[in-house]
Parts: sequence; C-alpha cells; structure tokens
Amino acid sequence: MKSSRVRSRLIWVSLGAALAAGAVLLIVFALPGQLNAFRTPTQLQAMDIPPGKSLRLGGQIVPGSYTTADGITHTFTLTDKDGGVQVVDYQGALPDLFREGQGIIATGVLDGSGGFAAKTLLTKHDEAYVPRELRDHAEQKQDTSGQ
Amino acid sequence: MMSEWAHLALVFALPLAFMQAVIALLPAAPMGWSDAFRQSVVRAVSLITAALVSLAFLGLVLAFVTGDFSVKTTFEHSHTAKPLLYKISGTWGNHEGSILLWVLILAVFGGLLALRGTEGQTRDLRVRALGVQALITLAFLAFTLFTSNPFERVLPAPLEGRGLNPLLQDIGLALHPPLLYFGYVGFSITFALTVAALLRGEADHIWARMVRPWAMLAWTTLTAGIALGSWWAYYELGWGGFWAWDPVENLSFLPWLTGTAFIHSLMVVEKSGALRVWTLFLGVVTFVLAILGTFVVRSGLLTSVHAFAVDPARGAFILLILGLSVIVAFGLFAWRAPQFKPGSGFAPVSREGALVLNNLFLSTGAGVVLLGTFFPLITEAFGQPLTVGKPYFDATFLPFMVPLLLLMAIGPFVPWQRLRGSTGDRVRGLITLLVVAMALATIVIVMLLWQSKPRLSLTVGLAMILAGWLLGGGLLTFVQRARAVRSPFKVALSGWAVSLAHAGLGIAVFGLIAGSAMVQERTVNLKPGDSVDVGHLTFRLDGVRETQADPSIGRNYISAFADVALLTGQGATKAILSPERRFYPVRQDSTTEADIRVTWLGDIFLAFNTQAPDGGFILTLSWRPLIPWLYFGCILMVLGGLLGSIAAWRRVGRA
Repeated sequence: MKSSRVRSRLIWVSLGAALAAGAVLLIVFALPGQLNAFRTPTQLQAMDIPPGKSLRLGGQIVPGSYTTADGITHTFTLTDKDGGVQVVDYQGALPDLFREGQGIIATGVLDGSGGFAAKTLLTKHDEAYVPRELRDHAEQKQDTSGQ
Repeated sequence: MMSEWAHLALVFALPLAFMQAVIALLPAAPMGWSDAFRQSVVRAVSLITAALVSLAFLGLVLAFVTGDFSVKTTFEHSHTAKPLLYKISGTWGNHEGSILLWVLILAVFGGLLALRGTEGQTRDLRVRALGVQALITLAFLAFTLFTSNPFERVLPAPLEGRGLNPLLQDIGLALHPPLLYFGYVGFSITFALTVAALLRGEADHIWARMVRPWAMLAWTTLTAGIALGSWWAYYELGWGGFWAWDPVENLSFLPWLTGTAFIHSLMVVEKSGALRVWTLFLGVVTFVLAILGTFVVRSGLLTSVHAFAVDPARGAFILLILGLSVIVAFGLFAWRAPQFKPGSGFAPVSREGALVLNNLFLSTGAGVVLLGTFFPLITEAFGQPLTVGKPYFDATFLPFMVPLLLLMAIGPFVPWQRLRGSTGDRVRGLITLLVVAMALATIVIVMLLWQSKPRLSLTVGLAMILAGWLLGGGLLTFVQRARAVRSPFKVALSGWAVSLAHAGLGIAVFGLIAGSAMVQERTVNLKPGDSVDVGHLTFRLDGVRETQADPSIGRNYISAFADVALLTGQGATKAILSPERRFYPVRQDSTTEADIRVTWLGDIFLAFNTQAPDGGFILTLSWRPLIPWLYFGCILMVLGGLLGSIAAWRRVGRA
C-alpha cells in the first residue's frame, strides 16, 4: 500500500513537472516576435528599428495634427517631452476618448516610409489616469519645454 | 451630518477589528474565559464591526443620493443631474467608494461566518478563522482610513458635483464591481479558514465541508462578475470585444482559475482526505491573487485601458498588505504543511486522479497568464518594460485548456478511488460521447450555414467538436445521474450543479470560438441612402437624428442616432437598428452606444462612431455569430454554481 502511494505521488509530481516544462517551452517559443517594447518618438528617431517590427509608441497627440478625409483613415502626430515627433496612421473606428493634446499608446509597426501604422490605440478610461510609461517618459512637462 | 456619523462608525470599526483579531488568535482563551465565552465575544465583536461598516457604507450612499458635495468623493464623482440608479452605483464607481465596498463585504462576510454554527467540533476552527478575517478587515480598514478615506471633506461645500465618467453610467457597470468583489472577498473567508486549519495543524473532511459553500459561492459570484464585465466591454465600449487579455482582465481571471482548481480539490479532501496540503496551498494562493486582482489595478503598476488614477502612497500600502499576507501565509504554510499526515491513496485512473489533472492544467494555465501579465514588470527590472499581447496568451494558455476541456467531459463519469466496471462499458461510453459531440457540432454548423455565410475552417470545425464534447459531457453526466436514481426529478442538487456548470461552459465555448474566429465586420463611411453588405446581411443608412438633453427625466446627454435599415434579399426593410452616439456636456465626453439585435444564432452589432469631414457617417457594422451563447453559457455556469453552493451549504457540520 505504502509503495503504491509513493508511486502514485511520483506519477503526479512528474506529470506536474512535465506540464511546467511544457509551459516553459511554449513560452520560450511564443515570446520572441511578440514582445512589444515601449518607445517614445524621440527614441524611435534615434534608433534604427526595422519596418514591420511590432512596438508600442507612446506620446501626446500634437494639437492640430489630427486629420482624416473619410473618417476611417486617420493621421496624427505624437510627440514627447524631448521634442521628437512621429506621424501615426490608423485605420478603423477611433476610441471614444481620443482627443488632441492627450497622451496615448499606439501599438503597431513602422511602415518603412517614415510613418507608424498603428493597429490599436490605447486611450484613457479614467480622466485622471496616465499610463505609467507615459508618466515616466513621454508626458509634456511645463518646466522642461523651454523653447 | 450623516456623513460625519458614517465616518465615525468607520473609525470605531478599526479598534474593534483589532480587538477581535487579538482575542481570537491568542493561543488560549484570555483572562480565564471559557472557550464558549471567548467564541461569544468574538462573534459579537464581529457582528458589531459588520454593523458599523454597513452604517458607514450606507452613509456614503446617502451622501451620493442627497448630493452632499461637502464630501470630496461625492463632489468629484456625482452630479445632481444624474439618474438615481447611477447616483447609487456612483458610490462604488470610484476608488474610495469601491474600497469601502470591499471592506463592507469583508466585514459582512465575517459577520455571516460568525452567525452560523456553534457546534463544539468546529468552534475552535471558527474562532481562529474569525481572527484571521478580523486581521484582513483591520488591514483594509486602515488602508481605507489612512490612504483612501471616502469621507474627506471639501470646505466650503461646492453646490454641484463634477459628474461621473459617462462610460460608467451603465447598468452592467453598476453591477460588475460588486459581484467581482463578492467573489474576491468570498475567497477571504476560505483563506481565513485555510489559515485557521494551518494554525491548528488539521484539515479533515469537516474542514473541507465548512470551506466548500464559501468557495462555491465565491466562485459563482466571481464567474458572474467576470462575465458581466466582459458583457459590459462587449456592448458598451463599442468595439464588440469581450476579452482582450488586458492586464486588468487577466488579474480577475487568475483567482478564477485557481479558485476553480480549489473547489475541485476540496471535493477530494472531503471524499478521501487526500490532496490536503495542495488544497491548503490553493486556499492561500487564491486569496492572494484576489488581493492582487483588486489592488494592482489601483497601484498603477500595469498599464491597462481599465486602470484608474493612482496615488503612490496607496500603491505602497497595498504592496505592504500584499507582502505581509504572502509572507505570513506562505511562512505558516511552509512551517505547518510537512506536519500534515498524507491522506488515503487512490489509483492514478480515478475521480481523484481526474481532479488532480484538472488542478494541474488549471494551475499551469494560471502560471502562464500570471507570467504574461507581469512580464512588463519583470523585464523592466532588467532594462525596459516589454509587454506581451493576445498572441502570447493564445500560444501559451490554450494548449493547456484543450486537454483540460477534453478531460472535463469525462471526469464526472470516473468512479472514486479506482476504476470499476468493464473496459467494454468504458469504450462504449467514450464512443457515445464522441458521437454526441460530433452531432452537436454538426447541428450548430448546419444552423449557421443555413442562416448566414459563416467563415469556416478545419480549426473552427475541430474546436466546435471540442465544445460539443464538453456540452455532451454535461448532458450525459445528467443522464447518468438520473439513471442512477431512476428519475430525472430525483437527481441530487450536486448532480444538477455539475451538469449545468459543465454544459454551460460547453455552450460558452461555442460562443467563444465563433466570437473570436467567425466575426464578420466592416467599418464604413455612409451617407443617407447608401447600403452595404456584411456577410449575409445588407444594411442601408436611412438617416441621422438628434435628441436634446433632458435633466428632468435624468437624461444628462445629447444623443445622435443613426437609423440603419436591415434589408431582406428583396430589398424590403426587415428591421431598423439605431446605434447611438452620446455627448455629455458636463464632462465634454462622448460615448458609443451600440445597437445590438440579439438572435438565437448571433448578434447583429452596429456602432455609430462619428461624422467624417466629408459629411458621411462612420458606422461599424458586424455579424457576431453565437455570442449570445457565450453569455447564456455563463448564466448556466452561475446557476450550477449557485445550486452547488446550496448543496455544499447543506452538508456543513455533518460528520
């Protein structure tokens, strides 16, 4: 009896270990290519990022930069506290809380001709909420603008 | 004035909770009290605390209803032009109020645990559990009073409040947080009972019976809360998504996964006394994840669409509570767990074995979701934050769910302890299940083909068979239970519970598959008179009309409706749908109110986005097959959970 209990415990423990190993394998294979780094427009200009690599671009929508012809294809410019700018293109319906002057995070890829093609736009839910990355890097601050 | 009393009640609850914790957790009854007297004192204090916190919460609700804008929370989050229902729900539609709601549920659950049962056998367990519950209440009361006091004043009192985020003026969102919190906090009781068991060094079937109704109830409300949140995101956020693997969604899903494992492993403890240490571990982990779920959302650590504004002091306090509960609970666990004697054994192929597999798959799934959710924080420690999205979760989580669902349909048929009966019977059973699964999947696909032009693929077909397998498993479970008692009317509540919950998940999985792989959607620019095809549907924009705000009936927004005709093949109008766009002048915000036509086979989902510079109107038109099944399935799961709670409740205290 005792030995059968030890044996069955061994079965379960090794099964658990196998599942954990499977999880690690899946993660190792799934991760590359799916990681989205956070970049500000300034960082994007300074770096040489190949077109088609997915990343998250955070910044403030430059007031007056938003244009659309048909209401489906949207273009606007994002900026950050260091003054970098990046033109963003987005197709589809805009989120309700999309507004000029506001900080947003766009997930997408560089299109190879200087533009950023956004797949999703993250705007804010709560008026006072600022995504952490934006708070740290990208929000325009009064005292640093100095132009 | 009322607010002052409410504030005072909350302040008084703090020392009471402290007293309760000390008296209940002392190794022996203090000052020569008898054990029975100590229990009476702890129960009385517990009830008084619950009453005081209820009073405080009621005071805050009244401040919202009467528009007492001298209370800062009310001033910032309410407005006289708001309908009564949303004035009330506004109480918990903000940080301070929602934390008070959390404390309220915590204290009331503590009171309920105190109310029931004085049996000698479980007296010590109950007292210890009430002590642990008092410690948790104490921590969160302190959090409320010191960092998130809902009764802070603004002087002089403003005449008008600043309104509520219009997105939050919604019935789904009025109910979603309370249900979610009931779920989270319900796991505080199971945590308290788990820690009490660790303190006493004993977790037998009586303990398991005591924990089960709470665990089932917490699981049921958490399921309802998550489903309601998903439903709200589906119809209110205007993009028809029901699950996006957003950090906040994941954080509510984690305690659900471990909680599901917990309610299943408790059965094994009750039945055979095996898996005790593992079950205690789950009891601790689930509540820790529930705290994580409530508070990481509010700590600002993770970036999410659903996140709220952040105060650094709060984040630090939360981390302190979380850190303390993790260290104390796991420390206790590491110290006590080796002293538990192993329970009786079971063969690998048995109900116990099936439940262990359920636990292994669920915990591994929870592990990869946890890692993905916190990946930005982990990678930030090594440089810059990297986030992972839907592809990661699909690739790492789903592989563990497929075998789980496959086994889930069979589990309830496997006998306890060891296999009995002939191999022939088992093979026949499996073939029956497979035939039922394929028949159900075929029926669903044929119905879709008959009604619409669905996007089908081999993967979708196989996934449909998996859903049918699950639904068939639930149905056959019921048939088997009915056969055992020779009448479908004599099936025990627990038999109904397992059949409903499992079949419900099967129906929900049908909805999940169709809702993620078969949606047909177009965003178009239409002028009145234009028509457009989406899948098998033809729409024509008839016109756009506006209505003004009317505060006298509680409408504090201006609406624009797009009237869209759904046409038959012959071009006749079958129905008019009117998606709406609302503009709230007080906050200068707009919201999209989708118009959804629910049918048995799917939703026709229309959203009115905006007006383009060329004068056209932007509309998102979509056909979302089987989405109602997702929510219907969730309702069945909740129903199953409720029946399971009642069944478990009846067994409490039986030897």
